[in-house]
Amino acid sequence: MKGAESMKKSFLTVILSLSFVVFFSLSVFSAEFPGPDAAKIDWNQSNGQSIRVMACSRDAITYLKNIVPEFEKLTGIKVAIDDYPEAEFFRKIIIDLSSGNPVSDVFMLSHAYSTMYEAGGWLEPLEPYLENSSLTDKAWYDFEDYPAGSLSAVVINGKLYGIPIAPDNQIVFYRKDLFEEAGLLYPNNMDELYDDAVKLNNPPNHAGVVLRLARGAGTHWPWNGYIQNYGGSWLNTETKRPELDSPQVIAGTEMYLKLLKDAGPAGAVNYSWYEASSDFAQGKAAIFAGDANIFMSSFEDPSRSQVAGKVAYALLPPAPDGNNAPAAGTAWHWGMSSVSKSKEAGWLFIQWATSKDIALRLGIDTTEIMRNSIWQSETLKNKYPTVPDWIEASSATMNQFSGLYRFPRVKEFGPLADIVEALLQEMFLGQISVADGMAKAQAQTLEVMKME
Amino acid sequence: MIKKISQRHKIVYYLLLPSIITLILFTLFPFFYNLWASVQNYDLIYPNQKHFIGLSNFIKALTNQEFWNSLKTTFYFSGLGIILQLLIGLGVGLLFGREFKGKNILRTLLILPMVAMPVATAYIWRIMFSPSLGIINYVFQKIGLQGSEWIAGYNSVIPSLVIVDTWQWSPFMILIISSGLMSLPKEPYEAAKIEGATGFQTLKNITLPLLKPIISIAFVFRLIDSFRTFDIIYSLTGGGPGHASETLNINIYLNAFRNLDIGYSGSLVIIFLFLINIVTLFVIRRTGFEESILK
Amino acid sequence: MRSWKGIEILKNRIAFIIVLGIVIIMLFPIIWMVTTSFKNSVDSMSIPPKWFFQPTAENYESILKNQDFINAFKNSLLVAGISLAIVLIIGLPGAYALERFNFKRKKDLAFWILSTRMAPPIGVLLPFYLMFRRFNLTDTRISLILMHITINLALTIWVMRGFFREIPYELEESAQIDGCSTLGSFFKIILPLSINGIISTAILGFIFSWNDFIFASVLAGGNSRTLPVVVARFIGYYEIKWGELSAGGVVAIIPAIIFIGFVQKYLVRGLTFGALKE
Repeated sequence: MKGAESMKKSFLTVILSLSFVVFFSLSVFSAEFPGPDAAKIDWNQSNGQSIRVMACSRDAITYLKNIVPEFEKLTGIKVAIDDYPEAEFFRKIIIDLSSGNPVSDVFMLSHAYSTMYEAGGWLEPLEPYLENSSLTDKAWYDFEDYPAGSLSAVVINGKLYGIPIAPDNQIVFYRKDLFEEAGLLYPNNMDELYDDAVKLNNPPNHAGVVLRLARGAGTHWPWNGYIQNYGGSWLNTETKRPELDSPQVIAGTEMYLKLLKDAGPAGAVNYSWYEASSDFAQGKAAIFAGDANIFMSSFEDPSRSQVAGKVAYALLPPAPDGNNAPAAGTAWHWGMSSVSKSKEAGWLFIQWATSKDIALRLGIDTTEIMRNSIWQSETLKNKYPTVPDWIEASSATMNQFSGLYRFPRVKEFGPLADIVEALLQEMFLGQISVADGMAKAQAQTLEVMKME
Repeated sequence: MIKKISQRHKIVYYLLLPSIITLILFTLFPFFYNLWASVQNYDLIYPNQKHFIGLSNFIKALTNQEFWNSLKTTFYFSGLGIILQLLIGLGVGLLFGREFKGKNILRTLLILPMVAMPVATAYIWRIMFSPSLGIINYVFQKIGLQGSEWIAGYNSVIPSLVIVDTWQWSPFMILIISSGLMSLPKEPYEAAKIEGATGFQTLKNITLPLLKPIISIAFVFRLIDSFRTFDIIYSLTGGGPGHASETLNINIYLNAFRNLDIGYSGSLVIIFLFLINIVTLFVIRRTGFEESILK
Repeated sequence: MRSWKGIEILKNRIAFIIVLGIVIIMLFPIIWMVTTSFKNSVDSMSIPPKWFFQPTAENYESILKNQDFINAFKNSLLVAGISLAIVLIIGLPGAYALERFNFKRKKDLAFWILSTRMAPPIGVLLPFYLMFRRFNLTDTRISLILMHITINLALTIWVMRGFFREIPYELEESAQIDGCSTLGSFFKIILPLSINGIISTAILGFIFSWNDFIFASVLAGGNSRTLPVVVARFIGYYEIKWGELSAGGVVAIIPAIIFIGFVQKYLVRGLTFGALKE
């Protein structure tokens, strides 16, 4: 019968299309990694408690604040997240933790200050919580997913004090259109980078290169990448003795300052990452020679940047003698107060917020990605199809976390960074030569660290 | 003519007591805290290891090049600033003694720099000063003047900061002086008119002497506040380039919050207070402000 | 006589032009802020500055929808209003006592009050935090109110002293002969005649409290956050959100302008003390 045939046909079509739709939506919307429900622990075990989280304002935190109701529903734990801009955050967290009676249970831990806080006894060791099978499903959580060296800042005296949240990795951003126009390829070493920057320097239209140089704006961080690149080290990793006047450190410093002097923008001495990144986003610089990889999302966003689609991403080229030590890579972590009254609840929060599923959603949204599996995930590739070089460069820096990373993880870090930054400015403005400046930095650092 | 009530009315105490109690409660503790910290080796990270070290912190300060630099910078910044602010405050404040349309609106607008949120305006100035992104150099170049490095220059940073400080705080002087002007009695002026005094004579012999108490108080407060300037300098330069804009106040901040050396920064606070007291007393005595305000 | 009046008018005109010129120069950054608040993020950063742009209300929308911002606004109003009221209530009588009465060690007391203003904020932040933490008063509006009162008291007392000084004592004397008490003459004579000073100190006190960042950022938390702290967060991690920063700055100015504009109407000019003798 024709009617029945056609009805069967249309019925089949409906079933097929329905299942196709279901299958399709499942594959698009289903998580690449299993959510918290798959964890073999009782999320409800701290029901009714409340925790206070103090954080430094970042996209990752904004995202977490938005989805934290999911956690509250899952566990019955009340979470109050307070976030502040970086300078304010550091002021507040110090005052809070040093009071001996902090209001914060969980807080963001900067790689630079973890040693300092641990020395004050303010941090709770986290391994017991990680190993506690009633609190943590290790298989589901996959702690090994973190790049080996990313924990170097938070493993102090053999104990684990932090769980990584988000990295700041140093990569180079450059204008592929300007390079093409000038017939240039990406440089093979730092000297070539310098030449390219000078060639592309076209004041007042655009500078050849931008970098940070402002005092108090974390300038020490990209600078540290440069001196490492030249084989130098801020502190000797074994003896912790500063090596600021070594020829390698001087060479790296010279290159950093030379780039800005000869191909940098006017007023470079006061450039923090705001000025540097917004110059680049406004098309006012050809090369952003080493800063946090997360800037990609604002550079590629046409509503925030005039260079969307014109940017290429790469690692810092090696120093001329081929000694390519890795660029600066650092991470923020979650730490827990040693005197918190809600430690289990705090740990549940940390575990949830950094679990694979949440980290993937957060990473896709904000580009703040710590876990290896997420760097390699298909979802990431599909979200940012136009910038595979960014994915490549960023994940390369993740692998360079381990071992070779040298950062002064000492409790005097604050003053050490300030010594370097103030002298960088003076050297740049010609108030003191690079050789004398670094010798002075060495002397001042030795004094602060009470060494000879 | 100023006469005073010489009787010991109990009422004096009632009138003053609330203020005194409030101030004692909230200012004595911080002072003694800093005093106590200053004679100790107090590192915020190791609070249990602090111990008495006598005057070592003070000696460290007085033998420290950084300290003397910050003193010099402080005096440069404040000195330049308050003189400018006095001149502008007095000049514009006196202009408000005249009658013209829209006085109230203009005065409200004039106060805006002081009213606008310092947090926002600091960053706006930062952008305006930027040699490459900034409007000031842009305008200068358009009208044929040479641009400056402003806050990015070793020598130009303090004058640039003084510009911002003056922009923000001249309204303080203008407000106080202009409302003081309005409170002046009419009689002396009427008498002067009858005697045929010129504008300048009136200004010199009547207005300024009558205004002296108000002017001196405004000046002294501006002096004190200028030493305590923090927001502008920190947001615009962080104390840089190098240490060029690191005033004593900024230096205290860095020692307390970056070095976490509460002992040393405590001693700096004590020195700072001592300094301001001396400078204030000196200014009050030397400029003849004393009778107007201390007696 | 006629030419003399003509000169007066000329001088007035000149004063007007000078003041107007100064106002325009001083207002330039404010105007920049206002125009930026209507730009989207790409436009606001461009050099040469875009004088012609597509205005957008998106920044205002964004901040007015932000619950944090609205709460902070309320907090700021409460803190500034209450602290101002209390400062006036305890400061005005204090200034009167200081000015009109003689007593032992008055000079020292006056100077000590002045010195309470001298403390550098950084030097008092830590002890204050510890103090308030001890009494569980961190993240409360009360702690901010107390802080602001402390800061504004010296200024109020001293400026009002100056204004009280300008009022001849004969006026109170004659009032007291007529049977007025000391307190009565304070309320009926001194206060009305020094209204200009009260207005000025009220404006200054309000502004200091409204704009205070350093104390609010350390002492306040999620519940008691005031406007400057919230606006500062537009100086974000990667980029400065110029649009919202400017919009926040503009919105923050509005209550202050309303307060100042309103309160200025009461500024009295050229009091004739003679006429007040009854």
